[in-house]
Amino acid sequence: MSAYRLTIKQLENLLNKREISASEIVDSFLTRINQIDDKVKAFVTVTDEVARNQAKQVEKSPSPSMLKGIPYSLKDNICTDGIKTTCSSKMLENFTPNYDATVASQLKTAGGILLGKLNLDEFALGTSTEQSAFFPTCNPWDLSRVPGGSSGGAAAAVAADETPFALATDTGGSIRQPASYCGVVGLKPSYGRVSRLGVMAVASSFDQVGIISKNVEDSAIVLGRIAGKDYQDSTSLDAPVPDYTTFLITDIKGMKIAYPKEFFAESFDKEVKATVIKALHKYEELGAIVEEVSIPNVEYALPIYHVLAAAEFSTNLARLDGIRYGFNDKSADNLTDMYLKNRGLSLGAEVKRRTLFGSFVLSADNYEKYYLQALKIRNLIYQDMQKVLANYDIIISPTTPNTAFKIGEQAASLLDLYNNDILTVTASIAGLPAMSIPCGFVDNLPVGMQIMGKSLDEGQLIKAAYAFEQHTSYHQEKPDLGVN
Amino acid sequence: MYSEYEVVIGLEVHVELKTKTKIFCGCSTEFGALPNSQVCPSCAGFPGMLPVLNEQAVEYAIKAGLALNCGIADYCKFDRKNYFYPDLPTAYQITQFDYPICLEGHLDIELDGKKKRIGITRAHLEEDAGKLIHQGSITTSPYSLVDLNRAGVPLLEIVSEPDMRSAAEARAYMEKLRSVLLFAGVSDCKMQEGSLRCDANISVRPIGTTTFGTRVEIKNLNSFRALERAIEYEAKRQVDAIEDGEEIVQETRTWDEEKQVTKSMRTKEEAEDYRYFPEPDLPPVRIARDLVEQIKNGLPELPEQAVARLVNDYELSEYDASVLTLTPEYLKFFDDSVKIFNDAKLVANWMMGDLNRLLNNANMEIGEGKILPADFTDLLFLIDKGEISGKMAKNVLEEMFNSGKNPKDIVKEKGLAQISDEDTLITIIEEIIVKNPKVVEDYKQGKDKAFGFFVGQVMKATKGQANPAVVNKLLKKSLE
Amino acid sequence: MSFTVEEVEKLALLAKIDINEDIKLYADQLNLLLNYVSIIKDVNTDNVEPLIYILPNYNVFRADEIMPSIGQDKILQNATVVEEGYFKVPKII
Repeated sequence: MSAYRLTIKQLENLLNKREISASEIVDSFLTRINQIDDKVKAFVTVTDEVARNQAKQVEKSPSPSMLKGIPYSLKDNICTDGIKTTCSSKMLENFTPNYDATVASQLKTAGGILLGKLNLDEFALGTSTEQSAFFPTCNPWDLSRVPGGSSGGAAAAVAADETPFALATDTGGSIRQPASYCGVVGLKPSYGRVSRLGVMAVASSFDQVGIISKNVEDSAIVLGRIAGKDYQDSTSLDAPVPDYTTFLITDIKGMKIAYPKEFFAESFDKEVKATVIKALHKYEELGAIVEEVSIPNVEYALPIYHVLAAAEFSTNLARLDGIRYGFNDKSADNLTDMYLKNRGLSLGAEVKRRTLFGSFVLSADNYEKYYLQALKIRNLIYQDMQKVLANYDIIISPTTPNTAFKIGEQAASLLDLYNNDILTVTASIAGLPAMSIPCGFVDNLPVGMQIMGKSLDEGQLIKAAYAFEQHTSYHQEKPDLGVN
Repeated sequence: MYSEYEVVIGLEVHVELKTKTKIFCGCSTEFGALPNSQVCPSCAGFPGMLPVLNEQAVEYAIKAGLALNCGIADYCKFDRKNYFYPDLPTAYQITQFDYPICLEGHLDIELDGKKKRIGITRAHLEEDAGKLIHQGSITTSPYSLVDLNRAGVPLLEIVSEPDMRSAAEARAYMEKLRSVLLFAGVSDCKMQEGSLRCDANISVRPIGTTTFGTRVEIKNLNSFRALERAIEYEAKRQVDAIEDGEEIVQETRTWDEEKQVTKSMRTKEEAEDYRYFPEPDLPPVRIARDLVEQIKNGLPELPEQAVARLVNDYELSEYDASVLTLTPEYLKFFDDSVKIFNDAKLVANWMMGDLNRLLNNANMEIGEGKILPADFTDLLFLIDKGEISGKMAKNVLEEMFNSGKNPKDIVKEKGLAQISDEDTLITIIEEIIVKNPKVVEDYKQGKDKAFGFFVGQVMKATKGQANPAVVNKLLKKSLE
Repeated sequence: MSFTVEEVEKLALLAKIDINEDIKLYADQLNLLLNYVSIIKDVNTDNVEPLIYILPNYNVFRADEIMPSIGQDKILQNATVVEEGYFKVPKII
């Protein structure tokens, strides 16, 4: 079988047995990218030269270690030293950082090999990757459909076997929703579990770096490498990092699983719900205790998310003025005009919309009505989730209310587009770890199941996900891209 | 008409804390480096970079707060103040909005022998902005240059109550504040380098009223002199406006040093909406009581304690003591000198008189000068032993100030030593008496002028080096 | 409440984003969004503390130790208008 089809674990086994070299692995993926990325359009930048050089470097030191010689790709809002980091925006089209994000340097240090930078909705705002300033990415399962977003490039690249895994960011569902649409595994760790340093901020109190991979085992391997305290990120937690691969066990007898009725609402796609309910039955078969719960305040989750995230976003992006880096129109003859032009001419409509809205909810007259009120409701939802998790190990829901939609289909409807996050924002609001794993297909399109857990208890998610995965074969299904 | 009004002044003082590194990153805070050489992706606001709080800045803030009699908060947090300006790389300043580190405090000032207590509302930690360099003035410069070396230097903003009633009081408050912060060792307080800056809130009201007038904020007060002038100008401007039936507009004005006037920058309506909100990148700070206690116990002697000590130990006047405690270096010079030369009064007089004049003329602080206590006290010994006259000593001090030489060497080199030796002087006196019998007659007939003539002749003969007291004594004896 | 064109213009100036051609469109979209989030105003949050920090940690400090700065050349590398080691901006007032 071609190397690009393999998982991290499988590649590692071959490397350890010296049946394949790092260079051969890299070539296999670069060839794959070359063959199909014209169709999928997952990559903003392919770092072929860097990758080949890194592979040669890795081959020089013979001792095998975790992730050494394994290729990976990064969402293009994760800064890479000497490699363009565009955030899929005209604003940063030519921005080359001279520093690595902590997660990027962790993988580099481990001997991982960077294949390239992946497309996203501009500055990670969006749920379809159509908001990329460069081009939309296509869903490998149906090229006329979106891969989800904002980490659409990452999910599509993993689904299309262009990279064994990718690191991406999740603010309100940006890893889980595309993972669900593309039939791959997406893990958003607990807030504070992984360093955010060097990752362009969207909403600082929600953002978390996570993993998109082909299966649960690979997620566990990579999480072990990127989790932990970073002294340059004050919000990263100084908590021990367990060996997540020890949670790769199939016995989940007695595990208590809650499914909130609000997450199976009337308006959601019936077949998607049925697929997830079928998965819940599977858990019962495996000996888990599955019970319905209610999280009443979840109704307000998406509205407060839009208030809080827009507020933080509006100030996080205010640094983009073209003075020190970024788009500079140079024609302005005074300072105010310079700001208006540099930002106005280079930022996309969605970025502008949320910046305006964020500025509005933070302005003196509206702060209490919207921002502070949203923080209070955040507390209510946080407490709701804590209550449920006091009695259950994990919470399960669909990841998205429906399967991947057609490119262009939702462009006209702002609220439809925002509603794609409806099931994923709750975990983000409460800072909880959450994962999406493939749990079936509706009309040949993947359906994702979301597993949420207690803060810093990623191990339980991995255990539950692994048990399901080992008793099903959805994760082994591959989209047909006409090339083998 | 001005006497019918009183001016009400509150000050917002920004002081740079003297940490080695910036408040949220490890870049050096040293003054005077090449532009943009003490900058990293974090303090330059590059994508994804995050702040990490400098513990020393927190401790200095607590120390400053304690020195200013402030309560220290159990809990404080950081907030973002959002506005666009090229010296602010992230387009928000990290500051403390609703939970400052230092709570209410006060500072006592003394003016014309009267003590007055000025309330301190709060003091909070924040980051400084970078510097803009304009060609000429900000209004005429065709472009501006941005240097981010200062961006992220820790600042403590100390907000006073509107308790001051004159420019002189405001100046006294600033001077006292500076002295306290210098003694506490939290800042070098150099106004010319911008490590101590001040904005003034000024309003006027008819004497006897208790409500405040509309206040105007004055920015860009970069020296004690500018502070005084600006307050005087602004108070007069407001009174004139009221007398002309105009209403005072709440606004921000800037002090134009060149024209010595305040100019409007923006009115309240044009004021920026700063959209404050909690900084999500920084967890809050909890300050343990034992840390506060520990810092309190470690506080060095503060100006008020030093004044009491000088009055008590050396019987100096309260005024002299307060002048000697303006800066810790000045006090140390005094203390070191008194250890060598124990006439504190003479030390104080020479320090506050001639030495101070020389320092002021050269615009220097005592620590920057060439004179050391050992040399300074050598000079006092020379005076005390009558080896040089007071008048000569002034010249010697000036020479010491310029060259850094020891006074004995100067005296030797220039042959300045005073002649007090009685035998030498008697020889000279007798020669003069013999040569001037007529004047001796005049003296004996009671003509006072004649005595002066002889003194003058002795001085002339000794090139001014004769000890006048000894000459007087010997002359009287010889003429009898 | 709802956004007028003038209010959106003011917001755009506050956020320093030129949207001149599409102000009406932005106003409509912001109204839609505002209307959507307005249900939060109906929630009774008396006696509920705002959840400002999602994590329980506090006092995260660094020691006052100098780290090498990255240097003038590197910090200016991505800027398009520089002069003699400075970033350059147009006339301020």
